[in-house]
Amino acid sequence: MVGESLILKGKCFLMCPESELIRRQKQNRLSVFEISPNVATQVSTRSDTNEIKAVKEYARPAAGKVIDMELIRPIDVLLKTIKYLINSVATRQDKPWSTIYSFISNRIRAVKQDLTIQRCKGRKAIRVLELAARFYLFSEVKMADAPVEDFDPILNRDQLLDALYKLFELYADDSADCSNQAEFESYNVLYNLDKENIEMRAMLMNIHFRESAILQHALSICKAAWLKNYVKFFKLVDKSSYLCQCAVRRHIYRIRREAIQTMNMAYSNRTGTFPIEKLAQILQFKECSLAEEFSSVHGIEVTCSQLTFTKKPLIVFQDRKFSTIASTDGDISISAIIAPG
Amino acid sequence: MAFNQSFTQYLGSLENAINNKDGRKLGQLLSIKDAHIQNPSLKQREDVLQHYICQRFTPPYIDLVADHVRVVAAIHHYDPRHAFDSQLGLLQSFSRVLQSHKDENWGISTMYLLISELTALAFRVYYYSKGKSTDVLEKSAEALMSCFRICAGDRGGGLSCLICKLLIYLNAILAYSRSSLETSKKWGMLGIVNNLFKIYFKLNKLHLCKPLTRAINSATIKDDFLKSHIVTYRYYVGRKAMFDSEFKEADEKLSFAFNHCHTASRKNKRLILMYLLPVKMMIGYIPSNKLLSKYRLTQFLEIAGAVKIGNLLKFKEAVAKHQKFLIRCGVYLMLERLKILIYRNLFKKVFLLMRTHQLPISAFVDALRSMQEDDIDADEVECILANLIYTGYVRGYISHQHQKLVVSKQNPFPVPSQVSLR
Repeated sequence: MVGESLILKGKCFLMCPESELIRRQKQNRLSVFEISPNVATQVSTRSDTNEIKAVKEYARPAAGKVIDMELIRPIDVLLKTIKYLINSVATRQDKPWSTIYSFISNRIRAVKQDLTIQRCKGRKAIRVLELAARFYLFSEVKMADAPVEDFDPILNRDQLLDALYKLFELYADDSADCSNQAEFESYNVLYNLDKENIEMRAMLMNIHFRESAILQHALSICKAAWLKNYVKFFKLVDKSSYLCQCAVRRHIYRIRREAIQTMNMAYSNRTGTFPIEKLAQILQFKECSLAEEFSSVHGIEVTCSQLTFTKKPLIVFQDRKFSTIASTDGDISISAIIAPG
Repeated sequence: MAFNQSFTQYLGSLENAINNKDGRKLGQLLSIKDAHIQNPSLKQREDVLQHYICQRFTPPYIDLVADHVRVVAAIHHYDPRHAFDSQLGLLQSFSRVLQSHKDENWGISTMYLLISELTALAFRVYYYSKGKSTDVLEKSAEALMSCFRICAGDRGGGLSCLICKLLIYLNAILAYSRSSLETSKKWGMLGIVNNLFKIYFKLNKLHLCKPLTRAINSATIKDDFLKSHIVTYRYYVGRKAMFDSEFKEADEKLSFAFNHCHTASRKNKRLILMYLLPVKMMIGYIPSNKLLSKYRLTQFLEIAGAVKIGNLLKFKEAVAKHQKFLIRCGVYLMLERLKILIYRNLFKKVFLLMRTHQLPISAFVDALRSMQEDDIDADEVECILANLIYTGYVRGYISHQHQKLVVSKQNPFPVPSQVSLR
């Protein structure tokens, strides 16, 4: 093929180019994750850092600058890098997750950049992007309650959508390894649940995928959401994989609010009440107290674990804390989620 | 057009058409569907033909003819991609011709033809590539946009600021357009817009339709365009409204298109009906068997029948049976929404059977279980009922403690078409 010779091939075979390592060492800008814990106390030389642990950081490409291929890592190294980040850094227990996230998301961004510059294709490139996308999805939930200085949800979302977009481009190649395509199509569908034109997208999918259980499940969730069947929606979400739950998280609050709005109208009568436990169960709140809080902030009266619905319009409210589903709470092993096998 | 004409004779006809300002004739002579493309004299070497062309014509018409000749050559070589590229060049050359026409609009008849053939070639390349070559569609859209700008009076500006520019320029035209209405090229706008809609629908970029509809809606001549253009326009606007779940608007636009579509264009009427039917069903009207048979849309027969009697099982079977057809139309997922009407009809039956205003939830659970909805439980049924009450299809309330639906004594199940959709 004519274009092959024009494709740039990276020449940096380490996770971090030597020149950058030396520069950052001098500037004392090595991350805590890049410094080997086994520092010999006697001899404190500049080579405290175990070179294997340094990872190239993300830097905005300077306009007009010629790309130095010595600084770009080839696809094998990129795959190795991202695997290292997920398996060895993300699993660390000694640092708070916001620090870990901040480091990994930056380094993954650099990985994606090298990938884009070289226009990598093929199985390994797909694998890199798959891992990246899973990481961003996982982070959406893990960092949900973090303050904005530690986690920018918009940036995370942009990175996620970018990774998915690039993935789908690679899957479209004839010889691509599409064994995980259904999984990522389902994340995409769930993530974009509220966009009706996903119908077009979904319907353009290969017949092959129509028979995929993962995709069918995702489509059922979408249909339940479109028909405002909140009971079915939460039942199905509860049965979904962890990452599917992450993908659907951003719609949870809205669906809960719409549910309570509907119930407010349908259950209101002079004498009847509605048990809070039931609400907590069908809307998948982790605890009844959360369900109570949810109801009262919207202006629905709660007395003795019973809700009184009146046709009064709901108070407008938005809080991230009403977006957690019972099952996504709690400690999950990240490497098992993101890089299974 | 005679088959055995020599090349010079063909060029002569072209020249005449131009001098007589016969837009339609010119279009015919530049069309790939016309008999002239089979003329063996057109199969000569390109440089030979160019020689004749340069002798006969002056710019900007030279490029026009030269490009057309290239298109014909590509067609003869069974090269759709090359044909498309040349046709694109042809349209771009023609834009220059159009721009050179001051205070005259005979060129727009030619333009319609060139545009529709460009779109057709683009789609041919697109389908051959199994949907991968979206660039042909995007390039066509760009070319159409520049024609649009010429017609609307725009003197320049990039695609990126098109939205505000369109509105500004339209207002500007209305304020001080130099060309009088008869010779204005504004009449070409809707024909171009319709082709753009076709492309945007294919590209799934429906959001790009919005600035175009805004531009057309603010044109004073919006009701005076060619009837066929208006029908096509309303068809697309109606379809878009359908995807945006604005069923009343979709009904209005698609019904207009259907009623005003020429009775002879059976194929088009059927196409409109394919989208109008689900919309009508959504707002509570069931189509007659006669209508469905007339337009060979009997796939909807079973579906409509199931909705009418509230038979969820039959509905699901019918939808599964015609899945491929429905997916191709793009209405498959939309039909999901009909379920709410099915529930309404089914539950009304339960009400009529039980003859009481205090209906146990279990009765509805049983009704659905009889439709092979084995997973359904009381919670889900309550949810469905709650939605029916919220949307106004059922008047009453649910008592969770007593597990009953209490319906109003007056008109508990209002006629669906009377219920305003939220």
